Amino acid sequence: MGVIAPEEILTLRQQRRAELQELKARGEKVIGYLCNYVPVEIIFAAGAVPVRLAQADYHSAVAGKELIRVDACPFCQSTLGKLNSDPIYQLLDGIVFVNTCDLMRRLPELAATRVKVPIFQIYLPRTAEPLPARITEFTRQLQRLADFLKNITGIEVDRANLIRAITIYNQLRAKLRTLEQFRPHPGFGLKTAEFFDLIALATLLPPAATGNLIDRIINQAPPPNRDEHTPRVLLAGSIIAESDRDIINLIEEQAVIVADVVCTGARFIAEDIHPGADPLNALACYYFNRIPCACRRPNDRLFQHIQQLIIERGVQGIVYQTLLYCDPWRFEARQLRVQTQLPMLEIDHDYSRQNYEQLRTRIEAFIELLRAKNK
Amino acid sequence: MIDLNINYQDPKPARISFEEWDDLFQRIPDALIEKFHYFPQNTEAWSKYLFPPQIFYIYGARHLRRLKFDNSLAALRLWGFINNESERLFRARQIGKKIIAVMGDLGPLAVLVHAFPDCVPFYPDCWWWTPFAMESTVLLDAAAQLGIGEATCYSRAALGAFAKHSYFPDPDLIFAATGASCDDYSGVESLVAKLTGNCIWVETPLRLPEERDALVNLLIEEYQRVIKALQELTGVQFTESMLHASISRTNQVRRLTANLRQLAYQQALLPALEMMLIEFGCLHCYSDINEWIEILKHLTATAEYRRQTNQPVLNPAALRLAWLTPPADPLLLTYVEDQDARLVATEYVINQALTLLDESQPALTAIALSHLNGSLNGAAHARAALLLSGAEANSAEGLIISGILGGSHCAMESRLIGDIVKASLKIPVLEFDVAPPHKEIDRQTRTRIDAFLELLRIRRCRKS
Repeated sequence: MGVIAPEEILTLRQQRRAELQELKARGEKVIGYLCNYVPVEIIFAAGAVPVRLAQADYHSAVAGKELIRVDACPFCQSTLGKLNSDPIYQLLDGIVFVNTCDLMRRLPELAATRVKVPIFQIYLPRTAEPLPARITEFTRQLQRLADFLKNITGIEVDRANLIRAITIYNQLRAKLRTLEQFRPHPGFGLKTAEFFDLIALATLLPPAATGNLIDRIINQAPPPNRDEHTPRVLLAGSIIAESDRDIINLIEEQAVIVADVVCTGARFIAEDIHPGADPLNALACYYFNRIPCACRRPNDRLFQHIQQLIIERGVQGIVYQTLLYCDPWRFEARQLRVQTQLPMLEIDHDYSRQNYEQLRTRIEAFIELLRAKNK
Repeated sequence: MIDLNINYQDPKPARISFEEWDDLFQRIPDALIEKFHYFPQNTEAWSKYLFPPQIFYIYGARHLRRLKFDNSLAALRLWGFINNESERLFRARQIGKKIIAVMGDLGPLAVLVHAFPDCVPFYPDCWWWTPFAMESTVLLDAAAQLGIGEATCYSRAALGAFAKHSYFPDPDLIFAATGASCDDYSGVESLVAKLTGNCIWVETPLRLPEERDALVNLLIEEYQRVIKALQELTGVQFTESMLHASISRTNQVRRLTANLRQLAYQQALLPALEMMLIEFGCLHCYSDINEWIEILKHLTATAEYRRQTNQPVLNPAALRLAWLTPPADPLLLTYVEDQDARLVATEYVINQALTLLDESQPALTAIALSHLNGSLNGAAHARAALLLSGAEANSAEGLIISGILGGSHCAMESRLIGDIVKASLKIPVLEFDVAPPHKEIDRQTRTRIDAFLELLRIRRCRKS
């Protein structure tokens, strides 16, 4: 028994799709965005409806291979495939990309061959040291984004709009953080699959609706469902798409995921923005400096963050899942193992379910190992 | 023919084997061998580099046995100089020069390093050929032990080379450029940074043509950090004139290279393998810019002589190919030429190192602008346009794209560029991934190349 029924999540998604259609019929604009580094606040402040494009599955990945090679990351393949097939993607009035990894930065050019809606690419410096020139450039990029959105919605992203958007999303993140902190406590009953689903809803539903849902969950406090001896796992690695819960579910059959550093998980909510006198610059600083994706250089802060979580949450082992050909995460796996000195299971996957039972065996064996260490 | 060929006349132009070069070398007078030294002004015995391929084979470059070489003295000089680079870098350290590793930007940062006296820049990136040259997976295995395994660009050999400490000296400074560049190499740089603990990151911005001025400003600030680090390392106070002098020498290299590209690709005066080495010389001049300029002049004189005497090294009527992305295995170039094809246009991901620096601009602006010409930091359409201009001008009949399984930009842009070229020039495209280091080209690849060239021959017949 979890904190939210899968049927409710499905219903909420379906209702939202219908709402988006109605909103579009009324002239509102729906903007899709990929990546944790897109400042959703700017989309909101421009009067558009932000929707994160984090759906991915095997069939759409196969469709995407018409444009890119088999050795491109499956998430990019799937995104290309979904542009012409997923019902929510069909509602978009514009798409915002960020050049984080090489594949993500090349995706807009390919997407442009598939869709007719305006596409915008934010240039985020890959180097992570916050040097003034880099922050200045990133702030300028965000102003370009605001101008791009104004052309779609007709609404100027001014200081008041931005502060309002920042406040709303800070509140949403704070609520999700509160919820997330229950994760290491088995008594609460929040599964990581549900937590990821709630994050996904937070990037689809209006912030207030997600907020109400989280309030309800926190107040319900469901009964305990795990004993204190359950192995405690940290989940790291590539993006985990909305329809991709296999690994999480397999882990949670026998262990508890007490923390994660996934961009569609806890990294989305890790910090707050302080608007200050110049909210656009504040957004630039926030997004530039947020707990880095493995693709940023240097990415030492990501490792420090993981070390902190390991200590705070008593992590006993790491499951490190990467999408096939996701170089930024794949290459750092060994470093993490060396630095943490914890047992670590590395898994490569591509949304195909053909190796599901092999995956189960590997995960079960890993958790058995953690159990043995616990004794 | 030229002053350098004292008492020695190049034989009729031809591509010759390893063994044939060994025989030919016996005819080169000792006085001529003595003439060529790296780090010019230096005439010490240790700085000679004119040796037959046999010498480098003994040192481990086993692939040389299987390649075909241009039979000119200038080409031998080129091969000797390039094969000698590891030794040259260690020697540079011994004689007090600073060794600066520049990684990832493929050209622009080396111009800054060259501005400082006694600083020797080199690109560890170029060690990606070493596993092929040595027919050995030692460097790739070392990279795998550090976290970068198979299905990744062969540039991971650079990480193995850092770990082994024997392919180049441990650098005094490492500049690692990253940004709108390939993930594989950015991953290599990340692990090199962790391995050495001594790395300065330099941003490579995404090329947005309408945003040029802002990106130039960003790059200038990045370069100022590079200059500051070099000043601190060397104790030399940087001046604008130092950089202008470096730009001027760099442009000399790039002009000579551009001329050689014309002579080779339009008139079949130099083989593709030597041309690839010449193009890549624009990155860091194989750690000795002054001698590299002399070698380029020698090659130019050789090619000019061949042009004047109407002695091309390749059959001018051979099938005309464009080539996208440098082949990690040089044997591929030898092979296509053996099948009576020749290269007439290339796009080897180093456009930023081939375009002239604008000497009318402030020095840092000129370097930043050349940086923004990069092959990999813009759109695939722009890269396709670069290739198209050469392919169209020289009437390419087919395009070969040699990729790497798992190479991030190959995965995303190869098909798009191939489609653009196919649609624009109406020529066939062959795309394949270069197989791991081995003494021969794998059968599948060979069969595909053979079939592709056969197709081009049939098309030519039909047209005529």
